[in-house]
Amino acid sequence: MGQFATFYVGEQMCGIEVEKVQEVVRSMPTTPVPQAHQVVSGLINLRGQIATAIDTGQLFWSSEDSSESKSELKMNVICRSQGALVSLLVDRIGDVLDIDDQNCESVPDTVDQEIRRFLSGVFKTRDNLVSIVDIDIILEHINHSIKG
Amino acid sequence: MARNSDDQAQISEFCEEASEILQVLNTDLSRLEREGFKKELIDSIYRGFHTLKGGAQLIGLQSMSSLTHTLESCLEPIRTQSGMLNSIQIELLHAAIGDLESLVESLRLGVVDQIDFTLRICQLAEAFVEPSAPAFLDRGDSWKIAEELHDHNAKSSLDSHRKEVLSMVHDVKSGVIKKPAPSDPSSLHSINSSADEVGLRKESLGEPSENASIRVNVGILDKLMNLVGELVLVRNQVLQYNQRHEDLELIQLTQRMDLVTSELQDQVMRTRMQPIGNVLSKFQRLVRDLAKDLGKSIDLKLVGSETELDRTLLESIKDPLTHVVRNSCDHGVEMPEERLAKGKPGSGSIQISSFHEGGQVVIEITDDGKGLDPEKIKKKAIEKGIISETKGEELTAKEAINLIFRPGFSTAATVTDVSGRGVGMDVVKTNIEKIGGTVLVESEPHRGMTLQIKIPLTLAIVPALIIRSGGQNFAIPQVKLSELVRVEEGERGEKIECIQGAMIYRLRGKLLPLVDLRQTLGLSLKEAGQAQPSEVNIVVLQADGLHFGLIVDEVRDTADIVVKPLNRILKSLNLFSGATIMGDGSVSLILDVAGIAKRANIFGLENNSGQQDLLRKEDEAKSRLLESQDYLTFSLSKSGKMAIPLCLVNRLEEFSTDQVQNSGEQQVVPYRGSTLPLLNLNKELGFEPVNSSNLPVVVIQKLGRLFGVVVNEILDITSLSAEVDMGVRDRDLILGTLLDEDEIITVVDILAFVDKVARRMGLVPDAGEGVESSQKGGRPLKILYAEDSPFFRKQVKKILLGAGYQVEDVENGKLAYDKLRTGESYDLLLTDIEMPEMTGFELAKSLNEISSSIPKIALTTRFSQSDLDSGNRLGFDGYLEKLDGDKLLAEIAGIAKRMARAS
Repeated sequence: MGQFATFYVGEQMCGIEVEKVQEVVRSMPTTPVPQAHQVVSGLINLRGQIATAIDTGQLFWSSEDSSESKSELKMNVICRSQGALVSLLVDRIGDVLDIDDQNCESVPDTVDQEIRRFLSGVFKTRDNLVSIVDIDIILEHINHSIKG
Repeated sequence: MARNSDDQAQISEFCEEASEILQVLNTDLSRLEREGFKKELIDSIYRGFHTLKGGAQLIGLQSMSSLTHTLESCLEPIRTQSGMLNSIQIELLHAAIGDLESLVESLRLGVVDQIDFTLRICQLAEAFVEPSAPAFLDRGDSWKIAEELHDHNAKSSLDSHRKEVLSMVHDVKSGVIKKPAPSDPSSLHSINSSADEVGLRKESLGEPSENASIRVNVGILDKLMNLVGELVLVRNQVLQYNQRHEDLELIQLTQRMDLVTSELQDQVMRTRMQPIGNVLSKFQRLVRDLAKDLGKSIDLKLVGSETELDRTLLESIKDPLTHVVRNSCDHGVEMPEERLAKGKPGSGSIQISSFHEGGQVVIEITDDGKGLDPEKIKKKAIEKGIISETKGEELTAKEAINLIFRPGFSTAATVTDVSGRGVGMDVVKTNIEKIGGTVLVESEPHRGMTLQIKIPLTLAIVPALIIRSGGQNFAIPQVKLSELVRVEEGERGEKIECIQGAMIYRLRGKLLPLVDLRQTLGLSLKEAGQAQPSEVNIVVLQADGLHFGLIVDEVRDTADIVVKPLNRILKSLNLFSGATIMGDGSVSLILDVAGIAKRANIFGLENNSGQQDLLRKEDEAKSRLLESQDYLTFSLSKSGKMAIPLCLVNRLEEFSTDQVQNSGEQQVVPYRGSTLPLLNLNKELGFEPVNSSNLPVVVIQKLGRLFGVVVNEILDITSLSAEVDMGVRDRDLILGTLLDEDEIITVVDILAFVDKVARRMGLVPDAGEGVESSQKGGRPLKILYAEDSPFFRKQVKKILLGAGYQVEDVENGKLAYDKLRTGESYDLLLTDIEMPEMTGFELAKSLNEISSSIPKIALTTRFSQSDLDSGNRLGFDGYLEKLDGDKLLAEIAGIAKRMARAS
């Protein structure tokens, strides 16, 4: 399946295709967008380009604690999705892993539907399970829930 | 040779393009030499020569045009018959390209206009028809080439070689080829020497060609601009850091950096700008050619061609401008005889002037032709069904002229070759509006017309107002801004009025609804550590026909901002049109003015079928006579006049307080041998009840019962617009507001009020008659209701729904007609008379034509005998005054009974 960049949301390890990731930057000043979907934490200035920051904590645990003070400490995984820059706010950055199909499985049914729809699979490492995140689906979902 | 600057610009542009093509030709030819015959290479070379020929002809380079023409003719057979070129031929092609290169180079330097290529042409002709060459050419081809050569050379200015050439051509023609040209030292020499000469001149000028330019991908420029922006931010940070330190050397260095950065920013911005003359100069030729074709004499004058604007914008105004200029030539300027007869100079003139004004570029296209004829345009518009005949009569000349921008309107009386191919001025308008511009037209019959196009300087950078609300900065594009109003603390109470909780400001006597940005965006009320501002800042905005005031915490500054697009997940909020990076590196959102208005319910109309509809409706409302309605005005405990439609009022009475008795909790007074329940409007709206010995009472009749509405004072009866502004209302019992000169009048939804109170007090009229008759064969009667005024639509619908009918409402007669024609079944049609698109009378007439048998009732405020008569003639079953609920229901019940009997 190729290489995946991993990061942590809380203690949960997640991965995203490495080709989609442009860079990782430390926490940056964020301009909140009023009335936006709750997972959108705001806009950041990435060397003159504007990236939309999405709080992955909010995404997976909805309203659970993700206070502003905490988001200051978060890292930005800058990804490219349909020509636009999107930053995933994560708690910690992990390694880049080589993932092959053998160790990859579909998301178990017991995972909450709310979370499952953002994942395209689960990858097993010796001591961890990595949820593979699909950024396009996340954006699609946000877009949809605004319109709906 | 004297050339004007326009020609010069055209030539340098041509040179730029030609060099590019020649470069491609060189590579292609080398590849052909290396890789052998390839069809696509030959095609590409052929195309290259062809393009060069076109360009050369355009700027009148005769010699270049003949050479490229020959080259084209030489390659033609090879292209079609797929044969390889021999080495001599390739050599010659190289030489020819070399010739062209030196010509282009000398043109660029302005030293030589023409180089004589006759010799090369002959060499080519020989080489490509030489019998020893591969047999891909037959005689016929050689004849053709030679003949063409002859024609060409006959046209071109002939010189010392002329005789020689002619004889050679003659030889070629007769199939006798004497001398192989490449071996002729003298001819080659002459060409080489001319090239040398060019080289020498170039050296003597001592500098590389100064107008040298390269083509750069706009994407790279954009990126460059981004990076420069970043650099500016870094500089700002360094400057800030500097202020805290006293290192002299560092200060000096940063000052220099400051200067260099500013200069750099300036220059990079300029890379995107181009003089408008680049586009306009092409029109000289266009006008000349058009004038010739049309047999007219037209003079094109360009003023302010050096005005610069963004490259991308320049591209997008090219086509609209071309269209406008064509129009002026074709339809504007008259034939010379006609002009002379009118006492105008025989030759017409078109002037295109461009200049900067208020951060925008203004382009005016003026001609001294016949101008626009409003009557003719009206007639045409009616003919084409763009407007109705009645509407046409009401249009002023100015409005009529603007009809040319309506889709489907082609100005050409006859379709000519030049213009009038169905692409009308509406396309021009849409294209200009797409890039944020506006189009205005002015015309004086027989004196000419002026078309004014205003476009922003650039799309990427817009001037904006920076405001602050809820601790956040926002940008508002200046184009949407009409003015700023500041209300000081002391005046706050009197200047900002509240109608039922909605804030209103009177801007020079006009009602301006106010929207609190903080509230709309749901921002925190107080900025941390800052006291509530004592004054109110109102940003008056105007966009897409909306006019409203935005209350912001603070008005900061104006700034040129670079617009960056938003991710679509944020765009769909329809609150922000983009984002921008501020001087300090922070991101600010750009407000979408129309979206905010919508969010704040500036149009609180129940029918939110999109802005376009609203705009259209607004236009129509203006262009037809406003319907008027009589209102009874009265006062309550709170300041401001209240009103209810007069047709709902049964009587006005005054009772003394000692007449009032209590029946349970309900206050009643004896009245006409019965009891009249009294309803206190003050109490219901949350105002203080008044203590007075006299009670002014408005008696309302609803469903056969009388109700007394207690008010403070009955004021007057006034005739006002029936168009109630429903934008400002916040509670059920208020319908909206009216403006009488300078006064705001609140219209009370009196029927809803009576209903509500009566229901609560158990006084609800027995559901007898109304509901019973609203059934038809077990199902409720289905009524189609056409009415353009939202006020009446809402009112009447409520009455009907209350009586148990099924109601569908439409905005005009046309829509009603469409519904009925397409076979949707209704039991009854209720229609207003005065409506846009199709009036009630027209609707009835159209229905009669399709022999629809639906019963019709007309509702109107217009009540003259002649209207009644025409109503009867058109087969209306009833003709009633608007908002007379009881009569309406009685009438409907009657019709329903008749229908039931008939079935």
